[in-house]
Amino acid sequence: MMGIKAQSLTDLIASSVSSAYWKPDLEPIRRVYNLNGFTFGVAAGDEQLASFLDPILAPLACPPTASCDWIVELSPVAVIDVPTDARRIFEGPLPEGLTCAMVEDGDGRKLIVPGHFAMWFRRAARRTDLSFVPGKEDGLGGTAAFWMLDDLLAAHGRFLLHGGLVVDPKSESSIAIFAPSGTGKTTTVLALAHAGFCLAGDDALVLDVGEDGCGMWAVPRKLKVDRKTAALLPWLDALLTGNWIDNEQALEIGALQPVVSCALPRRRRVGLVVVLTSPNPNDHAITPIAKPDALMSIA
Amino acid sequence: MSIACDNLRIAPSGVDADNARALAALGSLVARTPVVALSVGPNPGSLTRKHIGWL
Repeated sequence: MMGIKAQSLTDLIASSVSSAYWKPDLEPIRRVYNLNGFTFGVAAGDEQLASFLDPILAPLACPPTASCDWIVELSPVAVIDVPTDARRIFEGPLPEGLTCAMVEDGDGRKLIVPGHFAMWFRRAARRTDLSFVPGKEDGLGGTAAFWMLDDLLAAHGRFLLHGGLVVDPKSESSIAIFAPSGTGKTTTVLALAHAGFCLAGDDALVLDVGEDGCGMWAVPRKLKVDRKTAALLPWLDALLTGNWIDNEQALEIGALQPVVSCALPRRRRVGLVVVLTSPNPNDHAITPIAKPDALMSIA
Repeated sequence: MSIACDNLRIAPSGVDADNARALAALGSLVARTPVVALSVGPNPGSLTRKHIGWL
């Protein structure tokens, strides 16, 4: 029966944004990533939107499929703001400078960047709903993407950690390197890769505790090489052909392949944990560390 | 004594369930895996397998 239908919120939103972005039904799944044991699909109105995680996950992409363990769906909206009655868990700036708030909302948490985008982490529904204001979606791929990844991984018993990873090509065991930012993690990871280990990553690791012990893989994002690292490792010179931004250059892990071996981002047993301490002016020094102290340093 | 909080987030209300599980996973990692401390010297380019005790 044809009739007059009350204008729903969806219709209101649809009428207020560009039709190029909007489709009234579920968006098709255009990108699927296999995170070493489970898959998630990104549903969006176009390929460019759907690939917003490629800068950090492209090597884990697999052919699109209708069945995934988790769905991330992007939808355009006209306005994004923090509800005044929401219970705020966190409020502050993202490293990119955007102000954000994390709030409790129904069956999940919501990360809201007013005027830009919102991420609704809905574990019970095995979904992450991303709303964005068209033209303001650039920030989706930055720190917020890692918050989303953190939630998605935690829902599957995996944990996103800050650290570097190299792989021993003989044993296929991984070696995790932990240190606070700015204490030489990238330099050490690159130096070890040049010494014969395979480079996996310098910043973001995923840990799980399986029946076979602890496993890890590195998020295959670009490495950020600063001028000090470049000066300490002159063999990098030939690869640093881009522009320096804030004294850093971003390098695809694959771009290092001519100089060092690179490891595919797949899960491997952890064979060694290295806790980096302050550099010293004499020579490299390896020392035992009590496990409680190591845990305190890593945590 | 302080907790570095590089890998765990501690809210004013305490550690949430995800971070409690992450701490447990980190505890398992440290308990089950050899752990060493490394202080890198002035020439990181000379690091070798033996400098991290991996022969």
